[in-house]
Amino acid sequence: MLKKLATVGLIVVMAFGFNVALQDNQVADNTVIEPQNKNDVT
Amino acid sequence: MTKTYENQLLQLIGQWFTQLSTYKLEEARKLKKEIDDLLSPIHLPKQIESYYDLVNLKHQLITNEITLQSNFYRSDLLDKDVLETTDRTLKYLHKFMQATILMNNEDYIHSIESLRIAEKSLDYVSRFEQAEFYFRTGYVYYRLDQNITALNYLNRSYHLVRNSIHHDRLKANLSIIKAGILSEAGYDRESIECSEKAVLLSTHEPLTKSMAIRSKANNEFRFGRFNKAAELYLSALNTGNQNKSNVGIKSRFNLAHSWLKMGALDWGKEMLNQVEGEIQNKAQSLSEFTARGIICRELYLHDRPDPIKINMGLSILKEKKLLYELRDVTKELSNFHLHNEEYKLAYYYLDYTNYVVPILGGDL
Repeated sequence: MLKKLATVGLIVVMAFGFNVALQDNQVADNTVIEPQNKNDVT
Repeated sequence: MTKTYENQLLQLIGQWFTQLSTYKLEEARKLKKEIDDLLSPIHLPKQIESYYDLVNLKHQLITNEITLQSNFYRSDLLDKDVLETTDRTLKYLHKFMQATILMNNEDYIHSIESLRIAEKSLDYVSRFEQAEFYFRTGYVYYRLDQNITALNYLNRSYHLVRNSIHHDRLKANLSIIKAGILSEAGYDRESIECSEKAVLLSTHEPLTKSMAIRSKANNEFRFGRFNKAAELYLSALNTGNQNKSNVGIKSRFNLAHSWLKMGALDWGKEMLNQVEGEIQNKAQSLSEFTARGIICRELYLHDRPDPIKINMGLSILKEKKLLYELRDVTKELSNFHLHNEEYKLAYYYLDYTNYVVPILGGDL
């Protein structure tokens, strides 16, 4: 019983961790600044 | 020809040079006319002839004739026997103007080489001329993506002209480059403030004002606000006579790119066709946009990008050692393939500059 609970707990923790990691990636993707176009002068 | 006549000519050319460094264009025009009237068509000493040619070139630069037509001069035309002379001002002017022509032709690496030689004679020119030198040097480093070094030169330039009432145009140009550096570093609001400062400083200089508006548009594009970017590119094109200059072609390309990003494919396609036609007639200094045009067309207007055409575009950028632009387009190519779930190709383009740039001799 204890072993079963520990396995389920581990799966829950892993899923939670994966979700957080996924969210982090999404945030990182949204904040990426793409370089584009240099300014010109006279 | 008497010594007095030669001395008078040299003195007048010196005054003309000073007026140009102080951006007093009316006085400079008057002096040029006076000198032109004085010049004898026969046998001018080599030193005076070179001095006249170089200051005249600077005159054309300051009055925007060179900005409007980048192929106006070929840098090798300046390689007369100027270096034989001992005049340090002449040496400075020779190398500085050569560097300016090279930067107009987007040959930044060679431009830096000339600037380094010019810098050795910098003590022999006025502080306002030094400000001009630091500004142009900062600009070249900025174009080569060495933004920290660029910022150092821009600050030096600003320090020398900060109290001058005649250098609003120079200050506007400094703000335009600074806006670009801030924008690339992710400082959105600060970049907008800098561009707006440039707009205010260039009220009496329509072409500079249009560059300031363009700098704001570039920032909007960078942060993905394509509607606002397109609006500002249009505004820049309708200000001054940017429309007729090489920069006008760039802005029209940027406008086409913004429309394509917004999904206005018909407008974007029509504008891209127009721009590509114009670039073909002025190929030399706009190779960056020839390359970008090819890649942009493949990405937005074809069902599948043709790898041969894409490589053609990338080769042009590699050949000209335009490393910043190379990074820029390969990032866009990578994003395109990522969006289509073609991860192998996405990674290939993402990693592209990591192995190409060291081969070309650039810094990562």
